[in-house]
Amino acid sequence: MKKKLSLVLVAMMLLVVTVFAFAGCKDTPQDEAKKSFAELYPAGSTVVVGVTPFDPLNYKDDSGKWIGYDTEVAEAVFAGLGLKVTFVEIDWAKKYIELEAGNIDAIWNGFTRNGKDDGKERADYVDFSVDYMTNFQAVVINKKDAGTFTTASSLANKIGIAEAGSAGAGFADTLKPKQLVETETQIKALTDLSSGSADFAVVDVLLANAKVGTEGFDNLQIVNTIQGNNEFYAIGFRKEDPLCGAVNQQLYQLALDGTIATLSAKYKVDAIVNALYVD
Amino acid sequence: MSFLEVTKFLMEGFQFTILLFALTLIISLPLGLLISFCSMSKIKPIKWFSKLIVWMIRGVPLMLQIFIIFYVPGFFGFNIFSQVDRYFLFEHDMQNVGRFLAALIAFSINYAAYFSEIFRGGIESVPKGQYEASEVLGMKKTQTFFRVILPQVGKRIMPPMSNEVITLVKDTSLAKVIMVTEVIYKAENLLATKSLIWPLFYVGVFYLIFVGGLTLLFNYIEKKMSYYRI
Repeated sequence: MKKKLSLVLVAMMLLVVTVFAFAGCKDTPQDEAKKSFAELYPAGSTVVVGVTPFDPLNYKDDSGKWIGYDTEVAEAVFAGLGLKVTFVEIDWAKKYIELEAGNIDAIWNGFTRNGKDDGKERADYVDFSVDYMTNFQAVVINKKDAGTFTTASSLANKIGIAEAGSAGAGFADTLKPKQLVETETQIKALTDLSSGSADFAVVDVLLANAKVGTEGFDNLQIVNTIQGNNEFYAIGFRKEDPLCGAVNQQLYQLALDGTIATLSAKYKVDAIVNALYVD
Repeated sequence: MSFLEVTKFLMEGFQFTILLFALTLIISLPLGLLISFCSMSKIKPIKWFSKLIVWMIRGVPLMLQIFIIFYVPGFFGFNIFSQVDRYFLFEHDMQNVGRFLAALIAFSINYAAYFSEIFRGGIESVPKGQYEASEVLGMKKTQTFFRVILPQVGKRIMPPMSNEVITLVKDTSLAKVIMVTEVIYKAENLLATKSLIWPLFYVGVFYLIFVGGLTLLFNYIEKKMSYYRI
């Protein structure tokens, strides 16, 4: 009986996998004008992933090697596809230009799919993989203000700080601050907040969890009562790049063989990794 | 965004670039002269101290000095620039005054150190005979310096000075590290929020025109001074 049930479950899972594998991106184009996956990415060739340091998804260990949840999943995915992978640091603001120019092949760096850039859906700029993680924007404040800033309305007319062009800046704007200071990186927003130059910062909950309370940020705390909308993290590819479909399928393989579960536990992101994989 | 809108948006930043440039010059020129006097002082401790300061300021990247001046007071619990920022924001509705002030202080100290060495070089290059001649003519020390030496120094240091001043125009862009909304910060903001890359290249035109004007001004000044034949 138990065996039968698990067989049914596996069958259902495989069905979901095949349906979703091509949900994010268009089916691999087969006409002559488009090059096939094998032509674009012959076995052993190197895929370049554009990242910005983003604890705990992509960051460097003491020896300067890129590690992190996204990094290790990417390594496993491309190893499964018979490809090599290198990570290059990009300016997040120039990500589409870098991708378009072919300097990078994928944006795999906690990239929020359901956002807009310059009034256009992000999916208009890139093809997205499946959503692999759900993040939200968290409000961070100085500990001494814990009694004052408890609701969204208490942040109105204060000084907010967030990374320019980020989802956090968008959410911070809705809190109606007197001034919104825009920084180059999220870490810089936290540094500025910690030095007292701003009243509240809006950053990814992922980053907030990783940084708040650690050295340099031990005077900060997350406000649990204020929370931005859910954001779904996906991997961005060039439009109609067959790499997208291949990565999707490989991601499901890793979910099935337990790699995703192991890595998400290792980097303490298992709470926000999408259940689609881990189940 | 249209070309005109972008130009207007960038001009909002460029006014801070020019303001930072002009105020830095106004503060750092006299400060530089003062430091050069200290560096040439006959009192040894003053001379050594002044040389130490010049070494430290010239030896550390300007970007780092901006960071230090803006952030370090905050980590000791009293962010003076943040207080200024808040005062002007909430009382006078002016943004970023504190950040601008921090950048201005960093730039002024840094450029004063460079200028002091240019002044020192200029003053020491005037032959000793001129001091002796002035003494023979019965001039006081201050008279000698301001009427005989300084005008010649002015001419001698004009080429290195124009170099340094032009460098200052472009260095003001470093203020963006503490979110002073100068012109390159504005252009990068357009890139981050509107995915427009061309404004970043277009900004070069602003600098070129401004530096072009300065170059003409320096040429004019050099010509005016050419009657000091030395």
